[in-house]
Amino acid sequence: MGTVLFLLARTGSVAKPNWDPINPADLAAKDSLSSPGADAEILFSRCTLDTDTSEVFRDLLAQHYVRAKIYTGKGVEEQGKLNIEGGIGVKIEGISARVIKIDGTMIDLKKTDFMKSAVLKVGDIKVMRIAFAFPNLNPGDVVEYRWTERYDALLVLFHSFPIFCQEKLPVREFRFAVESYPGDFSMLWLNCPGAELKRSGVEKVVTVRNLPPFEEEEAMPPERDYRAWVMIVGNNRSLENGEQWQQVSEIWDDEFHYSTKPSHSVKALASRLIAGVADDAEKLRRLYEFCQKEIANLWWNDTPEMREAKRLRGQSGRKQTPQETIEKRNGSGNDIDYLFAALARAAGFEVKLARNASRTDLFNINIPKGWDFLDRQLTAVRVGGKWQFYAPGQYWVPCGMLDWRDEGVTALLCDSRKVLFEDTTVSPAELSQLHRKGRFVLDAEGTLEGSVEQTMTGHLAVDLKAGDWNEAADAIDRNLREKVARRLPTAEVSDLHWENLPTPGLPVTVRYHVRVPGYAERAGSRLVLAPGFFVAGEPARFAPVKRRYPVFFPRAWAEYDDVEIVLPEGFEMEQASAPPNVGDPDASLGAVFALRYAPAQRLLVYQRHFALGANRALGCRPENYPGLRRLFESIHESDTHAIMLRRPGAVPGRSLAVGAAHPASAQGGGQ
Amino acid sequence: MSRGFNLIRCARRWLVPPAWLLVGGTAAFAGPPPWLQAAASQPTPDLAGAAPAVVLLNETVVTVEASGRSSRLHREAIRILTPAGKAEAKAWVSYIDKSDSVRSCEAWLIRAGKTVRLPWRHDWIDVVQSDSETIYNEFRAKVVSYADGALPGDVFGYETRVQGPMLFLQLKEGLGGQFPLVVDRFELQIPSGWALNPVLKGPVTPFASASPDGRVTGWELRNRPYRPNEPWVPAADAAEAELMVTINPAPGRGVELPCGFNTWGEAVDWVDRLNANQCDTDPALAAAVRKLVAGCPDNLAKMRALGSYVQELRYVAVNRDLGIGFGCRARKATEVLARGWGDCKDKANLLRAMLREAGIRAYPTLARPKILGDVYPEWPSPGQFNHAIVAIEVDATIALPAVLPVTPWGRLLFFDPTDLETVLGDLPQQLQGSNVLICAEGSGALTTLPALPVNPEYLVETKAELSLSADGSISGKRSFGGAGQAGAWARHWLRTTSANDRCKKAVESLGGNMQGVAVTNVTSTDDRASGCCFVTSEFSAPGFVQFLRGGLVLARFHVLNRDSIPRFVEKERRMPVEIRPVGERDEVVLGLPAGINMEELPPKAVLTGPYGSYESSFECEGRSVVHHRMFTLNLGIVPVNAYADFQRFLSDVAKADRTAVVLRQAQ
Repeated sequence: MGTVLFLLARTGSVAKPNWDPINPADLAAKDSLSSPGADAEILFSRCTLDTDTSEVFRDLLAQHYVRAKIYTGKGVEEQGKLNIEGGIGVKIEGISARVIKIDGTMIDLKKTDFMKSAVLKVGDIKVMRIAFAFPNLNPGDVVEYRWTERYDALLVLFHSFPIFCQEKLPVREFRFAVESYPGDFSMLWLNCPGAELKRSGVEKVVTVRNLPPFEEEEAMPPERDYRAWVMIVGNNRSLENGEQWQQVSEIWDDEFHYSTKPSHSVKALASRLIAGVADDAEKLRRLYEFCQKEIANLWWNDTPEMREAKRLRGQSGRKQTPQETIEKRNGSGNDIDYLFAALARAAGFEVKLARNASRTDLFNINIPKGWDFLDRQLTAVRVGGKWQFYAPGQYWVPCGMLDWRDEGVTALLCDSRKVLFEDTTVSPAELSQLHRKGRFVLDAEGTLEGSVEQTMTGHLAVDLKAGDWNEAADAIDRNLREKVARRLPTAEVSDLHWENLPTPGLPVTVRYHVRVPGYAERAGSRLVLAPGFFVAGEPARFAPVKRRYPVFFPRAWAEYDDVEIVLPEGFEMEQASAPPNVGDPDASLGAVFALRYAPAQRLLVYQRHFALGANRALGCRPENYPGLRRLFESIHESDTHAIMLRRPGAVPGRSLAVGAAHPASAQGGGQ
Repeated sequence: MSRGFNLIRCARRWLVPPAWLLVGGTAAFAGPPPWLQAAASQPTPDLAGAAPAVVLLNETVVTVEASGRSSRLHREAIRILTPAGKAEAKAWVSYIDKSDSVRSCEAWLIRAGKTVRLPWRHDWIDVVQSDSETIYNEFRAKVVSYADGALPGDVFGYETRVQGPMLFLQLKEGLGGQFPLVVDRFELQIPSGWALNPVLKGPVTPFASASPDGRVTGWELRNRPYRPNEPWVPAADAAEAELMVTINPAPGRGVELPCGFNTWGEAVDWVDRLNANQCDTDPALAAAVRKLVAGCPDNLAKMRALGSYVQELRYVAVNRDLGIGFGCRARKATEVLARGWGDCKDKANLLRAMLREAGIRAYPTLARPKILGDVYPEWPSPGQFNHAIVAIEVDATIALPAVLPVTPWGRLLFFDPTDLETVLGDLPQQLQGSNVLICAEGSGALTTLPALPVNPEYLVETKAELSLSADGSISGKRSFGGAGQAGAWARHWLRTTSANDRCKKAVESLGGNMQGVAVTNVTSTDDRASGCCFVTSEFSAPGFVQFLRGGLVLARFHVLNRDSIPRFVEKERRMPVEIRPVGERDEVVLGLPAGINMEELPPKAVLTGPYGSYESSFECEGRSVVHHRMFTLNLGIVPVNAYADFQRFLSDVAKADRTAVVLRQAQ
């Protein structure tokens, strides 16, 4: 079928498309049965892979056929026009579309209705797009369209073909068929409950039904772990899945061991670096810090010399050996990782290459062809019988931690004899700390003024440094001002001063002066003061009541707030209390608070310690979501906890007749 | 469907030679031309200050030929000063496909006086300038970026040359921009005997010079300071100077030349000629009108019915034949009706045709949203517009905010059939106060649309009725909406939020300030005759109040949105602030349970000033606390020297909003 479509497209003649008969019940439907209230529904979506046998290199043809029912005006707006875009080496052919009105009238789109244009041209390379708008589309109508994508045959052999079959719209039926393929292949599907596989000769067909709409949620795991998808992967070897893992593991291991074999000079350097050190962890820390600090990382050092080195490095077209990295004193992130591995081997450690998928991409790699997603690498070193992971090529990441995308994932430990999987560790909250110190004076009008110092370590510092390293200084300052103003709209931030922002390894500190008119809220004669300056005005997290997917935080972190406020003269605290403690910051989640008052200095001292993932737990199953939400609610409640200040003897402004107006008699004292 | 190969892992280079082997004509490794070498040899001027980059030279030379074709040569040299400035090492040249021809485009990067040989080839990429609403567009651009190769201290330069026929014998240019600049120059070369009629606008007047024979005229800005991006800058101040030129050919020439317009009447004639046959009709259109206006008691009802119908048609643009003026030509009304989609001019034209069938006269009207800058009466040109609406003749019985007496047509009702949320009788915010051109016989001047007062046009009314329980939880409902543009805002919320998502969106809106909000129902009312649209959410939330020791209870009225108060975090300002109208009228009624009584209310707060007003009060009514709040910001310009005063007003408003009510538990 693919061949026929291709030939017709090439000659420019318009083939009468072969549309499936329409079910009258679909035309009459007023709402989606599986997802009531949906704006539209995909009645079916079919993708059939075939090859073009008329070519020497048999191109792959992906034939698509989609039929959708429109239920609402929003559905008309969203489905009323379509862009079908090719890619580099991907052509769009044989497009046709039509509208089926509720009364069964068909409106076929004419050839001139399809607008073909090059969205991008570089030399003779073009990425083409065909766009069209359905005519006279109304709620209740059904639309259908089909097109063919032509892929270069050689491209196909080396690459995977992943398709998400779960969309923002409900999908009643998704069918993925392979009639023929340019080579041996494997087909797999994930998160497709009830998927059916049928084989007929060489043809394989997988059908999935009644997929609900996919909606992203706050702090969710990678969508590949939960959204339905189908993938076809070209197979160069006719091996079973387990054997493929073994082969891949062996190939990577061979290359790694060859490339990280320590030379004499590497061995000499290693001996020098760890001279006099007995502790294995300390030895590795020294090697790590040498690699990270003494070897200029070409990815993150932007000087004319580094540019030139990068250019020469790119021209060489081969990997740099650890010895060359030492001699040049520069290298890419991977060169630095390989140098570390060579030094560790020279120091007598057992070392392996670990390959993993990013935590933003795929968690569960232990799936058929899961090695296709292992595009990140770490160095695994056996210490005290356990595998420890290192990546000094990650410029900002301090020793003892990994980039957060590499933490808490399953990695393949490349080995020539067996398939080994090992989980990388999650850095506990204590390694990523945010210390905030504020020294303020509150005046009788409720204006708070004083100095702030914030220090970040671990992932918090890495994120800030990696995000801001190329930003203009005024933009970095503006970002901070805006961040404060989002919480405290009247805040005036001045005298901003950053420390260690461009320096790897060291904590980042920012100091500034702040004045917040109206920080203490007015309540008649009283002032209402929220002592948690650093969390005041923060929005509550996890607003939705229900949750479909697990909660998954990218990293663990801890906050330590230390606030001192000199209260205005003539005011006293009224029945003050500390915010209630919530959860356990030394376990998975919690916040503890302390409030003291020194009357002689009118000094209110507030301390808060919050942590998430102190025990390295970063996730929560959907069934436990209500509990997590309640915890966050309670933390928010404690964070916004306020104390009342009043002038002794002041008469409250207004009182209802019912319920006596109690003279505020309690002395400020706190606890 | 999210389909296709994972091209990130693509090994294309094995299959197809790299792009740089295939592309001819670019000269990234050729030495820089003398103009760039000269620019790059200049030291960085002091005026650069903390800017990420400084423009050493920005020069455009337009040569108009006697045939009506033109050639545009553009040169720019920019020195990167900080790492953030590397992003400015990019070039962009726009052109119209099938009309213009990009004759050359070259770029260079100079470091310490020498051309940098980058590790990979940087080719000019030809891209379509399109958006999600446009399915075909002849507007294209060639772009190149050296950002990944540039370093602070480098000078990036490029030169482009585009040739093509001129649509009009008119040009509009902006001089001066965000970055500090040493020289910004525009030069216009015209054939002998031709004349120019320039109009200059903007805060800075460029220096003008002309050759003795009048064939070459230049305008120049020099040594302009850094103007960093600031929020709410008036659109007209985006460039420091705007130059608009009309070119008048020598009289008595036999060649047919593009139009140059010296009066608005000439511009209207041109638009009319282009659209002469487009406002057509056929039986299908007539039948559609009959069906839509059936039962309408009067012309106003007919206009509403037809206006709503056209607004509901999908907005889809096909930008074709732009080089011959079809960017100003509507598709035939019958064709647009049959397809059920069109762009702004198509919709305006269709509505005119439908109104005519209903016996109502309307005129096509060219417009330009204010956010894109002003339309200047001194420079008659259709090129000043990019939007189309209609002006409908109405009699004295129709009194609506969008009605204006305009000579010679009498009372005209201006209506935008593209804006899905602005009802007939109202005007979209971006058109209010803007200049439009009515394209009808006798039209000789621009018409200024009314700028409607904040109250009631922008007044978002929020009402909340809350019932507090003894355990500190609340339940109740909150509604928001209004008439005019406030109603349009509520309508926009409804239109862009699926029925299934409305509770979720309402939770997000309420839950930012309150913990544990659960929304049980979202309903709406929309009266398109009055323009009033309201959205109501029923909700509950635990822990609305904070119980303090000694029986005190603290209640904050966090059901109200405070995001409408603009925030200006920078202490200093370089450009004026254009105030966007804001209006809020809030009423919150908090019913107290038995056992919890009023202790103290915040005092009344009143703020007034040239920028707006604010009033907040709390009162006891029976067993309820009633909070009223009104905040308005009036449309206007705040000059730089009044910025601190304006900032103080906003800060005072935000401060006045920080109030709480003290309750007390009965002993």
